[in-house]
Amino acid sequence: MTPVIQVKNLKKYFPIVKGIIRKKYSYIRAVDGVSFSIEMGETFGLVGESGSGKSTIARLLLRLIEPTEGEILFKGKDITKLSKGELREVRKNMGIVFQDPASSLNPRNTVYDTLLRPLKLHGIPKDEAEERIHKVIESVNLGEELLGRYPHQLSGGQQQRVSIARAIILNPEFVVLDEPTSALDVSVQAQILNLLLDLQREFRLTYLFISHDLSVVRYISDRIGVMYLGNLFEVAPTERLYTHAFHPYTVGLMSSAPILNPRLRSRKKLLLSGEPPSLINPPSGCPLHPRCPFAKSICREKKPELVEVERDHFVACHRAGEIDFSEFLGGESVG
Amino acid sequence: MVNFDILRSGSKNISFKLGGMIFLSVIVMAIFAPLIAPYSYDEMHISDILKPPSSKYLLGTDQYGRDIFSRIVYGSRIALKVGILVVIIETVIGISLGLLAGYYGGKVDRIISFITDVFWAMPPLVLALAVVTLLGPGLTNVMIAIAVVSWAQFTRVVRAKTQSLKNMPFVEAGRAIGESDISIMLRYILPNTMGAIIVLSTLALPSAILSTTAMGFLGLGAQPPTPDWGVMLSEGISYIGTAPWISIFPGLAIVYTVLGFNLLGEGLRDILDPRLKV
Amino acid sequence: MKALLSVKDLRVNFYTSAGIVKAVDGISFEIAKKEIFALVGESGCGKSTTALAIMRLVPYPGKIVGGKILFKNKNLLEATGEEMTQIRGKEISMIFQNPLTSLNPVYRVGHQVAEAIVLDNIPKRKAWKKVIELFKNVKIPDAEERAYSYPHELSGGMRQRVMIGMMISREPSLIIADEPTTALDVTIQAQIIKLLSELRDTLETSILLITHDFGVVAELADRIAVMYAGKIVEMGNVYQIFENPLHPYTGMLIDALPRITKKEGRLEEIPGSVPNLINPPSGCRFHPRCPLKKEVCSTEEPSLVEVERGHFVACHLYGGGKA
Repeated sequence: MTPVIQVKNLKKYFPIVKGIIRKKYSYIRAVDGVSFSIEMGETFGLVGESGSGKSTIARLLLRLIEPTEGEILFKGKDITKLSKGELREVRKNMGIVFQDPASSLNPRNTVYDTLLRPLKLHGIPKDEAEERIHKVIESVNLGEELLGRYPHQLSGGQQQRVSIARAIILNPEFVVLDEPTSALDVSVQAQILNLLLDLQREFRLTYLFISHDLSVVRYISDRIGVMYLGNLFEVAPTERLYTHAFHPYTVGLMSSAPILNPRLRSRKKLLLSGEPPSLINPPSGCPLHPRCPFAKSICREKKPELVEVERDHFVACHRAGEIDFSEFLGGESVG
Repeated sequence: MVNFDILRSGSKNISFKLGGMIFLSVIVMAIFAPLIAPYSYDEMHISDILKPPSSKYLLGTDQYGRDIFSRIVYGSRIALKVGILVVIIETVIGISLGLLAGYYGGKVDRIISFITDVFWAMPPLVLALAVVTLLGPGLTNVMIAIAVVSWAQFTRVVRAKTQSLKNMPFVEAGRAIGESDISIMLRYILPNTMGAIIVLSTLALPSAILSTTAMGFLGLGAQPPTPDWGVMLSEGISYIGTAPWISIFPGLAIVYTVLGFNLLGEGLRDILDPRLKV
Repeated sequence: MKALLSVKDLRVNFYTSAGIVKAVDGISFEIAKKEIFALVGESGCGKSTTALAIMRLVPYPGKIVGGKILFKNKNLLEATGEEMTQIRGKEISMIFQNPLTSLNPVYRVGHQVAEAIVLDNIPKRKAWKKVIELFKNVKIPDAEERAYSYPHELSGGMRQRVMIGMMISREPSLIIADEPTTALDVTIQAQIIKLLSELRDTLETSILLITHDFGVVAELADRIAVMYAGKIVEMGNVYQIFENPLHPYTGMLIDALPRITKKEGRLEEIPGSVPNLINPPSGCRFHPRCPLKKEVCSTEEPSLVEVERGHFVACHLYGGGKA
């Protein structure tokens, strides 16, 4: 079966324009040659720190911004070459949920208007639209009494439920979730994560879940891709990644994340030194090499390719398999 | 956010309250002019020329024996009509150019912004004088002239608002469900710039009134016997030594209205959008 | 053990047009010397307001309406404006969530830190030397060069280090850190957590950590107070809270967090959301969301009682009604 999404060598460079002559000066390489695919019904997690390019990928997949290079296949069809009308049809099959629930909804529209709009745009007759709105509002566990409310009259969790309802109301197959719980309180985050899992089961959805939070990604994803400076460093099935990561960055990210057990404070951590460099002048070779404790001379010279080191486990590192990370990847052995 | 919260917080804002009261009083005056004014605006009392204020003529009479009070009351209709029409023309030009420039950016933005900057840089009254000279005197031409020279502020504000709104997630979400550009501008961006537009309009209104009266004063705007406040002011100038009330009261009417509208506009601005101080 | 800071029955109200918000409603806690004490809770629980109250910086329309804040046995609520200026920065300093807005964009970061040091009558040249030393202490690489940078030229992590450098420059005995790592990436957060815990040892300062993030708390705090809707619902040392949470809210909150260490079954949900503080629920404020609620919970407010040594909880399940 063809994957729902196939991304091939995707690049997005944002030009930085300077000077009165308006000459293109340099580029921010937000996404710098990324390839992955998402299978029907799975949740693919994309994890990375700010500036890793994960949110740019979200926008590229819905063609909210145009790619600089590369292909995006939705069910085998390259959406980067579609006309406006064709794109509209494809977008019917895609939804997106953003991070900040407050600014994701038009402040001037009631919940009802917000949900009606996509149905109207795609020519759904009034009766059916009405029915769908009631159904979707029930699916996301909101009361019908909220239909007449404006966004500012809702709590953050309710706003995010409305965003989710809008994303799935046209019965899409694929939904992009761009940090959907990062702005929410802990107790609400759990509600939304569980809701997303329920909806996936109910409507057979395929998710791209983007997050900076490794714990959240682990909870929700079947497979995970780790991004850094516009590059995909490692892709693996979730459990495999958390127990047998090959990339030093993945390991660094995991051991940096706080653990909810004070007795594990003094565990061995692989702390990456320094900070991510600028996207305008990324380092030569492997983008991680200035921060990587295992860098060799080849890392400075040649950018590593993403290669399959085990079945379904891809890594972009010159030293993949040479280093033993087991002391950092034990998991919760105490308590 | 235009809703009832405004009125609640408005009740605490002194300039909003005071401005609002003045605004209402001018509106009432304009609507009920025939009921309020004791005489019609062009009725001449030949026997009572240049009379000082008295119980018969509340604010005195002019050189033709016309009642100043009645003329001022009727004049409020002209002031309001001019102000509102000018502001409507300004907002239509300003909003459409601002939306286009802000949303599309690039070349469209550069061209529109250049034109806007040119108009913004010219002294408005001088430019308006030039336009009236070109079109000929008269109230309609004056309104066109004033609108033509002062839409730039709307374009600037709408453009800036559009730029910041167009990357908001709810706008992106709109595009993701298949909205067209026009629809994005009109349904998603424009309603959310309304607060700023309302504030600017209330501030543009008094300045439009001020400009028309200035043109009237110079004899380029409304023509006698129209009870335009500017015309009245200029007519009274020759009698300023003997019958100062002819000019003073229209002058006070201008100050009252302009001040009131400015207060209202500033109050609204503080309530709706404190960051909009231009 | 003598408490450095002792907050007693602190109350802060916000007088809004919609009504009175009791943002902090009678909370008490103590921080010992060299201790890292965390106030944890979801948004709107009053943790940041508490921090601002200690600095006497509660913004309008908020007002401290009751209680005592004893710092080194002096009640800060009775201190004059002059005295507070002396205390702020010198005795108690504060690190904010967003270091970019806390630094003045038009001055070089080194100068901003030097400015603070000069307040202690230290000559300028010496102050600059101290800045470099401080920057080295907070592990800013190339400290001599970085001191000449403007805030926008530094990354988020570096700015937070500068802020921390500035805050420790006058050797305060208490640092209030309000969500110090929330705006930072995970790898940088880990570096800052490490730095804060080292500073506590080298400078012997106490830290009041304000955060919503239980992970950061587990990594850094000695003692914890969990806040909900303006009240402390549970307080104890870090092991007591994480290994034996007594209040249903604490337990559910910790269980609601996905873990990086294992993939668990379905996450525990807390139904509903944080209540409106203008009209808080009667009795125990958590009762509408609590699965273990009894009849008494909706009528009587539980008080904070000591259930085991150093472990306090305000819940009727533990006899919180009458002590």
